[in-house]
Amino acid sequence: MAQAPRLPKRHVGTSAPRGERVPGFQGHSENLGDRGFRLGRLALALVALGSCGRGGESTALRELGGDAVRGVVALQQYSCASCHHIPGIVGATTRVGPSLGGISRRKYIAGVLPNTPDNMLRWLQDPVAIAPRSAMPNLGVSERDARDIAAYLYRLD
Amino acid sequence: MQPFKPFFVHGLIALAFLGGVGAIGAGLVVYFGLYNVAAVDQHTSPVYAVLDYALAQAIRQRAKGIEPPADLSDPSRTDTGFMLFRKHCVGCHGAPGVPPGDAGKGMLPHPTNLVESARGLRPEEIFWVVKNGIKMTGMPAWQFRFSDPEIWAIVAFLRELPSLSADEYRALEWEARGVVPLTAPCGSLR
Repeated sequence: MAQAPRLPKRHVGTSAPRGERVPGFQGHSENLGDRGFRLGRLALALVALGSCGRGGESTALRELGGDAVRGVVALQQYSCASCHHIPGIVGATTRVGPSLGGISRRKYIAGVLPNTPDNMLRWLQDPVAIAPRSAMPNLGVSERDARDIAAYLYRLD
Repeated sequence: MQPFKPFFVHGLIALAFLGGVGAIGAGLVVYFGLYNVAAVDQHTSPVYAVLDYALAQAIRQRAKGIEPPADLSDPSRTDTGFMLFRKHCVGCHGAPGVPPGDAGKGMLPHPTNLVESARGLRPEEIFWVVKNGIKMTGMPAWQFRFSDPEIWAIVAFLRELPSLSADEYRALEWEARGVVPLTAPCGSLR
């Protein structure tokens, strides 16, 4: 897969300074609830806490980039939570699809695609091309949003 | 008894005072717009748990006494139900292999996945929800658009939904659009 233009480096997760706005989410950043992101950060802080002492982020995860805080909101805005159990997202308790908890340790995506960051981006953007018989539809996820979603998912324990 | 009475009265006064402070506090939160109503701002976990439980309980209570038709899963009923479903429900709820529309994706709370609902709710509960809608969720009431038999048809189709694969649902959709002849595999509905 062709490498997309790198996103500008941004603080990720718990290191993001309090009150920093996350710019440009679907072009309406000024309308975004600040608290949504604060809650996202809280969820992320808890997730990060859980992974303490496991030797920090992997190289692959650093190369992936993406903004995990924004990923929390994107996960809701693409209806992921109506089918998947997702730790850190309130109300995401359904089991229509598999739980996304521990997905960083899963070896295959959808049972067919080796779980690498690049493949995860492919899967999030076009699952139907990879698993045409899956009940998971294409949700129209953009490259940037896929990167942010993956950044969050890979930090889940 | 004598020492008890003052204690009781003081307790009441203290409670009234705390209640008053709480009411003023709540009023200020509302007045200054501190409660964020943005759909990107998810509920806190306790608030969500209470609302979700209240929702389930309210549906259960109000669906009592509703009697599903004896021939609920009659094929002609499920066929009618599918035609209504594909036109009026998929836009927000999606279907196996079919994403919800943009409006459905952007909602909080999320429109539920109906495969989940079909397995978790009884027919009369689904009927009640479709007929009456759910306040503050974006779920409309359909009783002024559909007759009761039409709503039962939707319920009948929803009961079949969990048995359909994405392929089978797609085949039904193609057939409804007249893209594929009637001989196409149509899952349990044919």
